[in-house]
Amino acid sequence: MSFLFTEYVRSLEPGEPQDPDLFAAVWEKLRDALIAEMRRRSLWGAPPSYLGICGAAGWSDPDALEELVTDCYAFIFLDRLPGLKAQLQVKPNVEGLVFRGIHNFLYDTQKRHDPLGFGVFGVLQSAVRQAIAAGTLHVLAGAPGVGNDTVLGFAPGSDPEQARGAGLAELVRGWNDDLLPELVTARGKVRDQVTTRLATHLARLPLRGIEGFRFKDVIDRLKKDVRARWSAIRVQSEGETAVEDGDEDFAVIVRQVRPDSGVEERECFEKLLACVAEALEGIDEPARTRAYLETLWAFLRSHAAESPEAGSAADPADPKAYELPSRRKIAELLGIPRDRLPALLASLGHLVEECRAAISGKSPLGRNMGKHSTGNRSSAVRGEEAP
Amino acid sequence: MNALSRQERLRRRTEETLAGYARAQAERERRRAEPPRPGDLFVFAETAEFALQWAAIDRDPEDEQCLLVVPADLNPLVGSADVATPAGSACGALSLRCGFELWLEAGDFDLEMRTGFLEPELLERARRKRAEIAGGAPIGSARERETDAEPEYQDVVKVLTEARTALVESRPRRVEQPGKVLPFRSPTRWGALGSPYAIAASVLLVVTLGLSGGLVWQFQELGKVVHELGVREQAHRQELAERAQERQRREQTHRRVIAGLKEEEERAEREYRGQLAELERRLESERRRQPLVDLPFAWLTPEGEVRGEIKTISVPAAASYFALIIELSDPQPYPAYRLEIGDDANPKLWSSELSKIGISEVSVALPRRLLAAGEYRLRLYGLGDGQAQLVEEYPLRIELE
Repeated sequence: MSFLFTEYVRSLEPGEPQDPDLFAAVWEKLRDALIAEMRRRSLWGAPPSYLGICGAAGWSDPDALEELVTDCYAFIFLDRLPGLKAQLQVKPNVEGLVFRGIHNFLYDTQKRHDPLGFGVFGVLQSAVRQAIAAGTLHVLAGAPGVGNDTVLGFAPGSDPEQARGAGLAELVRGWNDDLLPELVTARGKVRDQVTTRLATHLARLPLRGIEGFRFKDVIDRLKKDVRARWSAIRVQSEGETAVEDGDEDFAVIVRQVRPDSGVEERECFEKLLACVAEALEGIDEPARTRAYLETLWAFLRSHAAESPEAGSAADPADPKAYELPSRRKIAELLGIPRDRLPALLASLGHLVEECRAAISGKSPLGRNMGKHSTGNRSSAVRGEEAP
Repeated sequence: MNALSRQERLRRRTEETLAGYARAQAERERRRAEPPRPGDLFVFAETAEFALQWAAIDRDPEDEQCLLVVPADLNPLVGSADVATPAGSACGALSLRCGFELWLEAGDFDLEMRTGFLEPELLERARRKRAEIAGGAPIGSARERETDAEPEYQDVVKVLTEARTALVESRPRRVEQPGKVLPFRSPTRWGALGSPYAIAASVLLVVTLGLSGGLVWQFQELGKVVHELGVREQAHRQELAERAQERQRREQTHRRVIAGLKEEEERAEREYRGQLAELERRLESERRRQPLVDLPFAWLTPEGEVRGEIKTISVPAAASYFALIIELSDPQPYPAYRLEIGDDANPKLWSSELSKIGISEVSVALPRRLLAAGEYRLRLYGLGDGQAQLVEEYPLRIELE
């Protein structure tokens, strides 16, 4: 058996010249393993922007794939080299650890760049695990930890081959009527409630004649329907104007929460997301306003990531390039009063601006940033708080 | 990014990583013979299968030989009780799992298994996190608490729990004080006055003799208490049995109620589906009455006439139908035609009879939902004298926007 990755990790020593043949072989093996894992996670057919690679239409673009392999290589063999070397003191090889690293890399990358797909996957996985713990569902085949290859059934020991799941697409669309938008935007306790609602839908499948299913069949349909609905809200209704007063704020935020292609930009993007999340947590606003802001922020993030222009060469200065959904549609979808949207968007825009300034070193980054810096805009938001 | 700049970026990063690793190794070599201390990282053969390192983060103020360790792994998921070390640090990117702390004796560490160290600021962050955990208040950021709830992170927690147990069980342990388990602490050394156990035993003997008289009385009292406990236990058992019967009765009632509800739900579901189907039917018929505007269409010519790229029709998301106008080259028209649409897997996905329109065309408007995006082959048959004769074939690619 060839322990190519192990041999390579051992060979990476200060002052030692790198063997180009060994490097080339490792690169190829890493690329193959990465593709296999992407296929397993249904990412091979997804846009590269879901993994932070912008400017490419698909993975058939060799430059996009090489960029991803580069990121994965750095994640495993550079960022974690001391850790891999440490394991070689007690383990004969680190092959399994490298494969696990590929899994972790994709999980982490998708989490950051495809908030919609990642969120839906997490809720469904939790719901299935909840049903397994309750004895409603049973793992018939595949990963017991519940992944794409897991086959599930309502009767223990039933034939996994029979778990066809025919008619799931129609049912899943019905579930989304109940679960959206919280399925994408919910956090904390609300997310737990959505998980329980989804587990209830799963438990009712036998009533519809479905005795078993593949996890992948459900997650693919669920994501497809959610993405379709998400993009549908961008379609302008007749008589509605695309840009309303104050939509410049929206355009600015969407533009800023859209990951760019460069490495430095991506690092800044990560910091920006963390900064805004932290600022929202500490923001000095009533609970309802804060909940609106958090929901709107989650929506903007997924909207930016799902935008067909994500990663394309659209003019970043053109608000129309982002196909802004109308206020009415956002208000309907998120359950936020329409007249509050301008102030909420302004507050979020202000937070994003502050975070960008802090990250670029133009202003100090403090925990209480959201508390005192939203200033007049915060007051405006508070002033509209419903009684 | 072009290939050259990517290679250059990798080359530079590799050099930086190896330079940092060389510095860390030099420091590790310098500490080789030194006893373990807070900041050190070790691996243990007992937890090799879990691919963990263990970071010493503190020392027992009452016993310098006792070190507090936490596991560290390569998974980037950071929960509310964890501390992430950056890729550029001496130990590389690690996640310190501060919620899984364990006390170890200095003698438990194999100095040859020292793998590295944490820089002072990282050590301080780990200590602060540990103090926050001990404080009992909610810790971590909102994102970290969200990570705590992720199934993937719960798998990490499961592995850490198993690893901690494996390390605890691999060594003798003893309980130092109620509720606090110090698994690997060795016996304390004796003081200058001799064995503290011997001194304690002498004192205990004197006290025992003094109290022996009282013991007889206590035995009598204990007898009464034991009898009373027996009576109470019997009463409790009886009560438990009654409760069990009551629970059984309630369970049966609940089962009946649940069965009834299930039946009711199935009935409601059937009713709902019926109503839904009716609504969809009405909606569809309503849609058919509306004029179709901006209808996308493609003009198909026989395959033999125009070679080259396959005819492609792009169907916008807003379009519910698209039209195909199919040109005939057959000089002898048939009274009727049949169109079959299929792909490689299924040559006859849809078919219908058609009549010629205009001079030499047939046409069809297809609902967007009928066919998925992909390549198809359309076969047109002429119908006459009770026979179907293949007239033309038309390749077509459908793109759904």
